[in-house]
Amino acid sequence: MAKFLHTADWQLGMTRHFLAGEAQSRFDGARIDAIRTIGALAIDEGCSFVVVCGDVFESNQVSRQVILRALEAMGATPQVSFYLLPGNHDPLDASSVYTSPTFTDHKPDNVVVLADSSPVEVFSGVELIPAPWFTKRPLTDLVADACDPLEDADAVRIVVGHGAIDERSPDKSNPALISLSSLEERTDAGQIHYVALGDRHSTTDEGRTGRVWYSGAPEPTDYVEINPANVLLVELDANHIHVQERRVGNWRFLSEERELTSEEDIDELEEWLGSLKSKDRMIVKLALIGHVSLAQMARLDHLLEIHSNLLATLETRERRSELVVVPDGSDLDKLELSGFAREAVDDLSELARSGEQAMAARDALALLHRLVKAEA
Amino acid sequence: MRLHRIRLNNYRGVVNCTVEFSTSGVTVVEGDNEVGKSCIPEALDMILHRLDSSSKQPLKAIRPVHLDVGPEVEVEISSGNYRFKYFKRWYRRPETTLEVITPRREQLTGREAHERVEAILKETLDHDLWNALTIEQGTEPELPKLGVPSLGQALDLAAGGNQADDSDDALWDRICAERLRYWTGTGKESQDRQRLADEVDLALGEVIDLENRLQAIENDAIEADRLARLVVDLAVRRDEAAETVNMLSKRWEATESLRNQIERLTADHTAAQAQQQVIEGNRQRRRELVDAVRDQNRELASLETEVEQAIPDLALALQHSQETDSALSAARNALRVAEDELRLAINDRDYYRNLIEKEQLSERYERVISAQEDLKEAEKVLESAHVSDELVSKIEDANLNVASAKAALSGSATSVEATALSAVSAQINGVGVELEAGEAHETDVTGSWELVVPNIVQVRMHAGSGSSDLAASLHAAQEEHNRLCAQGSVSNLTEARQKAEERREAARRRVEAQKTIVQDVRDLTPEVLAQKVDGLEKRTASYPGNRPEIPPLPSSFEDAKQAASHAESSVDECRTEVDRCEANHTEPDEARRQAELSAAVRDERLNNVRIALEQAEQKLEEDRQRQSDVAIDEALAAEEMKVEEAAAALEQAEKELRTQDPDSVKAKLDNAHAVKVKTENDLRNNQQRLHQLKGTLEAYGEAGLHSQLNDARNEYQHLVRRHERIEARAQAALLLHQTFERHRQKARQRYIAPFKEQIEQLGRIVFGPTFEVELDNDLRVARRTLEGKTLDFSQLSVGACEQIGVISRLACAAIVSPDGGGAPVVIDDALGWSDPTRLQSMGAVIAAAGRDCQVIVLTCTPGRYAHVGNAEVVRLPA
Repeated sequence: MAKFLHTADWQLGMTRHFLAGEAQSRFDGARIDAIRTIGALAIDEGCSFVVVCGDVFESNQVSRQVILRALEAMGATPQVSFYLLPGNHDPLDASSVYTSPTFTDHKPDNVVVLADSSPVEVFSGVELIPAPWFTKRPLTDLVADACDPLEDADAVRIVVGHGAIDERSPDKSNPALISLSSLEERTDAGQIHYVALGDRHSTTDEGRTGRVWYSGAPEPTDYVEINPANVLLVELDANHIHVQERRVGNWRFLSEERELTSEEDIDELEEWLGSLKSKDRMIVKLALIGHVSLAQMARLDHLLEIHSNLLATLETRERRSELVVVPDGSDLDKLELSGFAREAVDDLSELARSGEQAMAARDALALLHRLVKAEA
Repeated sequence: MRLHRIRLNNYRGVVNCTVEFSTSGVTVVEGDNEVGKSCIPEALDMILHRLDSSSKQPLKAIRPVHLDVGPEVEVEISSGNYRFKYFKRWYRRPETTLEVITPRREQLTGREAHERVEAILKETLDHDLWNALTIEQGTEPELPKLGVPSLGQALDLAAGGNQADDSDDALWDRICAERLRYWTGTGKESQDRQRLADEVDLALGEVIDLENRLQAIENDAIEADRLARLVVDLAVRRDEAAETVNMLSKRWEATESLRNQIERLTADHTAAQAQQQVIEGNRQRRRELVDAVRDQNRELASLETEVEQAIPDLALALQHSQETDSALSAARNALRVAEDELRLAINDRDYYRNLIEKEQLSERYERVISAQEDLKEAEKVLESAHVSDELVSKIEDANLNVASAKAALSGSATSVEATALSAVSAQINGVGVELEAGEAHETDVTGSWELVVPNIVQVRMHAGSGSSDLAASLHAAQEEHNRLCAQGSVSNLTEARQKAEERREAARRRVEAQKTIVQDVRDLTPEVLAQKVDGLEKRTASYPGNRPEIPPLPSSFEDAKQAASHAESSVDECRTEVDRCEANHTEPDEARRQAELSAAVRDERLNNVRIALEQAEQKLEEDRQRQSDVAIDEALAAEEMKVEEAAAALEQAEKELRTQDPDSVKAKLDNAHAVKVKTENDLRNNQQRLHQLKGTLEAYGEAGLHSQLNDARNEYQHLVRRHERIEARAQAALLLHQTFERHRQKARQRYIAPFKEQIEQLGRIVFGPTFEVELDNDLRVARRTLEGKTLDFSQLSVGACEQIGVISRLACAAIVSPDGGGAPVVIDDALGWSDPTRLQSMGAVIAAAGRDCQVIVLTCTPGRYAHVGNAEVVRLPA
């Protein structure tokens, strides 16, 4: 019985443009912390090794700091072996991070780079069949290539691969796609027993066998990820398999779309924002549509400004927003303008409804609102 | 504000003056100069604004000059809801009193009164309006600044009651300020925005640069992978090449061995062939020796036959030749005899010829000798004779001149004759003369003549001047005569003529002698001539003795010539005979010679053949003794066998070598060597390149460029978003500003419309129905249009400017003054530039305006405002 953790796509060194200042630092720290969490989980679950199925690093050109911290985090649990597979982000080419002096000089003993497709015996009766990437654009199904030479054996074989499977990829012409049917044939034949894959950041059980899995990223990296922040705890022998998700990530990406047309809508938005937990590890993207008055917009601005400080990131679709600021009668009355100023506001209100200058007109009204309030 | 009344007391030159004003309408205050008319506006300003305790300069000017009293002003004024009486005195017993009548009665004095009035005016009077509506006397006609609050308020009301207030202005200021945050005054983007845009560009440049560097790394990595694969491939190829070289080397060595074998076999074959050739040579030589003996025998027999056959022919040729040779010899002998005879005959003939020539030459020589003597004689004469014919002619002329001079002198000279009476020794002209007694000495005196008898007498005579000259001429002629005679070495003319004749004769003889010499000597010299004569003499003398006696010497030259001719004919005949015999002898002699030659050749050949035969036989014998003919044939057969065997072995080896194709093997081996070297070089170069690339990539990898790129992208994204925000704000600020500005302008147009209409309404009274104006921001007339023609205010005449200035004030006052507001229009003797027609019209204007406001006209020329129909005229006392 083999028991191990399956993870992938750490993409250490990744930065997100919407993360500013300290948020990026905490984001980076959380991803290193996830390694320690995985190590601790492995110990807790009685796993002697972890397979990391590609894209350990965001790039081969990550900073020295990223490499050292990652190695240090893996070295924190020396009793757990980490088998690292080079993926498309960190292929084992001539510029590989895995052959850099920083990596080789500081690599702890429990870290093993799967540098070729030769089977690796983890311990007696358990073999890893690695399919490392040597270039960013391979021209064959690397997993199939790794499996082709295999003959029947008694050992439990765990294929460690990276990349998209053919049935999921929209680009069918990509020669590097992993053939799911081929893998299923091999698992059916008992030639291989588990396929640990990386590349897809959402935890996914592929195909019909229950033996082909994407672990997903241990910490989320984007809004589109469906079920990230997990590792897979795999218990396996030639006849049985048991795969469990274990959550290790603390960060969340949320993409929310709201229509605002009334004070109540803003109330609800405020309530929703207030209900978010662990805001400092929450990355939220708001797509607001609808129309609000100047006063409502001012309130909304205030609300968003507060939550942009509370949340790790609060992205709004600036300039693309379909949220229209339409000054209503009370807005204009509140401005207490008369004469030509009132006429100008009426003009701007009209412009703000549609047309090329609509956005500028809304901004101009908001600006006027601010100037008048400042005066008051 | 309305003025009801003003009273001046001790103010400047005015002792006491009170003016009551019409509070609604026009009050014309007339007065002569110095009666205080123009003091009214000033006094109003004083009382309203100067404390009674003030001692400032303007106040000093209003003190009466000759009275020690304080100037006083008292006014009664309505302003807003207030109506009050106000009094002030300055300097002497200064005093201020205020009595407010409405809305509630107040009595105040001193500073309190002053401040109260100020408060009332501040509350109810637009000071700017007050100042604007006053036209002071003597000032330049200019437009008042009518952008005053009260007019503004009035216009606001007129424009609909949306009265602009300070808050609107503040908002406008903030809108302008907000625009200026993003735009320059001229509408260009601000420096901050430019800077931000530059930062965006810079950040993008940084991103692109890092992307390029990362792309370069990626390319290098791809290249390194390619090189790594290539290195492996090259290593395999190098090993393959080495294997190929090894294999081909072995094949090549095999061919080398075969070649060596062929070389040996070739040598054996060649040696056998050589030996065979030697034996064949021997056999051939034996055959040749046998043949030679045979041939020599044949030759000998043939020659012997030939010799025998030639003997009769040779004998016949000899005989025939001897016969012709005898005839030839006889002919040649006859010729020799004839030639000897001819030589003797010729010598004889020459003998006689020499005799004749000797005679001729002797004669010529003698003539020459004689002529030479004549010549010598003549030349001697010629050398001594100096008198030429020309000299003779000159002497003749000189002689004639002397005779002529003498004749002339004798005709004129003094003749002196001195006769000695006794023997006396006297000196005549210094020459001692011994005269015997009776001896006379006669002379013609032509110059001076002196006779001295020593110790006795001295007679001295001097000829006349004519005699002297004649004597001189004679002397000169004689001198010339003597000189010419001396030149010819003669004493007189006769001698000269004789000498000349002698000279001519000698010359003739010399010519003749020379001629003779030339004729006889000819091309010789006399000496040669003599030698020739001598030679001929000797030859002729010895010839008869030396000559053979037979035949005898002919007797004459003619005989000799004839004998010679005969001899020549004989010789010719003999030569002809010799020629004939020679011709006859040539062919037999050649035949003989040929026959003899052939016989000699045959003899020689026969001899040679015999010798050669002997030698050949000897040589053959010697050769056979060394090796018999049979032995040679056997040796040759054995050697031919060996040659055939060697050739077969060689052909077999060569066939085997061809099968192995050594050229191809060599070419392939060389190529394999080259491929190996090239592959090794390629491998080494690519290994170096790979090593370098790995070094570069390692260095780049440590730089963390991806992290830098992420940072740069983040920075760029932040800047882009910030830039977009700023740009949006800039566009918003611009749009806000533009929109407000547009509506502000529109509002202003509406706002000034009543004022504009008021001005145009009043103005049309003066300028006609086409009169229109444009107002500027200060509500001043900027342009006037008349009958469609628009002019800037500054382009108008002074009179028109003054009239429009008055009209503007009246229009303003008319707008602000209803309900008692505003301020009176004070016109201090204006319209001085207006012509009578315009004055008349302006009167109507003032009258029309006066219906809506208070107009106070101060004038010292009452006629100027006579046309103000509804005016109340106040005449100030003088």
